[in-house]
Amino acid sequence: MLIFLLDQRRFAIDTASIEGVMVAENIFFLPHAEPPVRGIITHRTELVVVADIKGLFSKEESTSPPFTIIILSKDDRRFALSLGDVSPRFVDKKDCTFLPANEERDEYLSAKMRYRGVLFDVIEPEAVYKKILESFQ
Amino acid sequence: MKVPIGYKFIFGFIAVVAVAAFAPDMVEKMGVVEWMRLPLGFLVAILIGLILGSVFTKRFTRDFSYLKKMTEKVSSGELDVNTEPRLTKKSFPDETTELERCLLQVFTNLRELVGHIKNTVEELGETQKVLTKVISHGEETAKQVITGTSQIFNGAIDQARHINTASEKIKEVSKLADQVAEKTTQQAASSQKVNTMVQRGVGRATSVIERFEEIFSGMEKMAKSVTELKEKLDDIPRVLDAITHISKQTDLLALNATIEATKTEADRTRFLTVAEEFRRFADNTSKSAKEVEYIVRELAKEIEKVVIMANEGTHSIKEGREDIRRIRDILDEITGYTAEVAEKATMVLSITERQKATSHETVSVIEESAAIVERNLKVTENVDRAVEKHQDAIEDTVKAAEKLSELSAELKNTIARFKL
Repeated sequence: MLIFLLDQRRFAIDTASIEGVMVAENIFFLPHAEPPVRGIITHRTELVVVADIKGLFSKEESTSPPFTIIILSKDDRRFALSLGDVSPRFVDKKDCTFLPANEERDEYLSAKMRYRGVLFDVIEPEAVYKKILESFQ
Repeated sequence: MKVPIGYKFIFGFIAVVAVAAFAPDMVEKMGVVEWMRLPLGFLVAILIGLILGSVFTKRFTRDFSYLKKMTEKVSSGELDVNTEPRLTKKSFPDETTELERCLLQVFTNLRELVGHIKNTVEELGETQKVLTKVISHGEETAKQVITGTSQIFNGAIDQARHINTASEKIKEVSKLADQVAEKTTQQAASSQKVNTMVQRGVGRATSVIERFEEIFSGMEKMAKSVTELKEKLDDIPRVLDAITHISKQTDLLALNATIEATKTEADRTRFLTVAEEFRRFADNTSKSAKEVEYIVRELAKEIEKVVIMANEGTHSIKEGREDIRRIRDILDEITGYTAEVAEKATMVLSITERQKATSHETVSVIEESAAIVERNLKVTENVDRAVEKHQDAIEDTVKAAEKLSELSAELKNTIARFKL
């Protein structure tokens, strides 16, 4: 699991849906794109749409480079999640305890996770991908 | 022809007797009765005798009266008589004629004498007046002289006192001059010592200044080195940035390797271990880079302070050089001044020596003056006494002049009785 802290909230993403983590100096503007879509980057010669995690959970956007970007994949489709200047950390899944999500959870979250007594919100990549698609419609 | 009075008296007596003798005859011839003739004769004789006697007596007493009157005039001082002889015109001069001549001679001599005395008395009066005036003037002058001599005497006493005081003061001044000479000698020696010490101090100061110059040069070099060090230190953050970047890339690589490892079933643990080692290496590198960055930042701050201090030091060095230049100038002035002071102290010493000698000479002169004043005091005292005696003499003279005046007045009164 990758864990990171964003605006006093702790998030986690399953590494199973992650292709890699990179640092981008620039995110290129994409016309007609709406938040949370931030723009596009190139990853291994392939264009990847980037969504800003801050745009998912608040109206703010990360503006200053460099941007830490998590490359996600879903059914051979790649998309990215920008964490801004936040650096994620890897923790072994075996050390984590997953809790069932309550009904009032955020649409981008799938569950809650406890690691060393601290609760984390587990992000659902598919929901993020849907949101990206919605932003282009 | 001179006929003595005795003869004339005898001749007159004879004439009377003769006439008386012829009286009875004349009466008889006149026809007078008998009984009347004798008495009448006697009576006529007596009458004739009386008449002739009277005539003769008158003739005799007239000259005597005349002489008596002249004598009375002499006795009364009336000398303004006619000196023309009257009795010498007589037909028969007698003793009265000589007596008249002698009296007239007495008159003449007495008148001349009285006239001479009168003139002399008048001259004496005039002289007396002049003498009185002169004596009065002399008395006033003598009084003034007495006052003057008294004042001179008092002045001489004051002068003697002042001279004694001045002598004491001059002696004190002489002692002070001796002390001043002694102190001036010491001061001159001190000035020389000070001059020597200042020369030595200036030499030391010049040496110190040269060393300061060396220190300043060293400080300038050090400031330059510090500036160069700062410039070189400014390059370190770029290196650190590179290291940090590499560290981040390594960390990212480790993270990706870890992610990839989680997806690999075979040798998953070993992949994870390597990836963890990578991550630790990246973490350590990052930590070291941060520590180095912190150290470099702190070092940069300290070097910045050193640079500021060096810059301030450079500014201070400039001011210090300026101060040193001024100090050199001041030392030169001090050297010149101390040399001048020493020279002037020597001159003052010379002048003080002369002043000392002059002071001793002044003491001698004042002592001689005091002796002279003492002698003058005695002389003035004698003069004062002499003037007092002179004043007594003048008083005696005044008294004598007054007496002479009185005598002159008396003589004048006496002489005034004589009418010339």
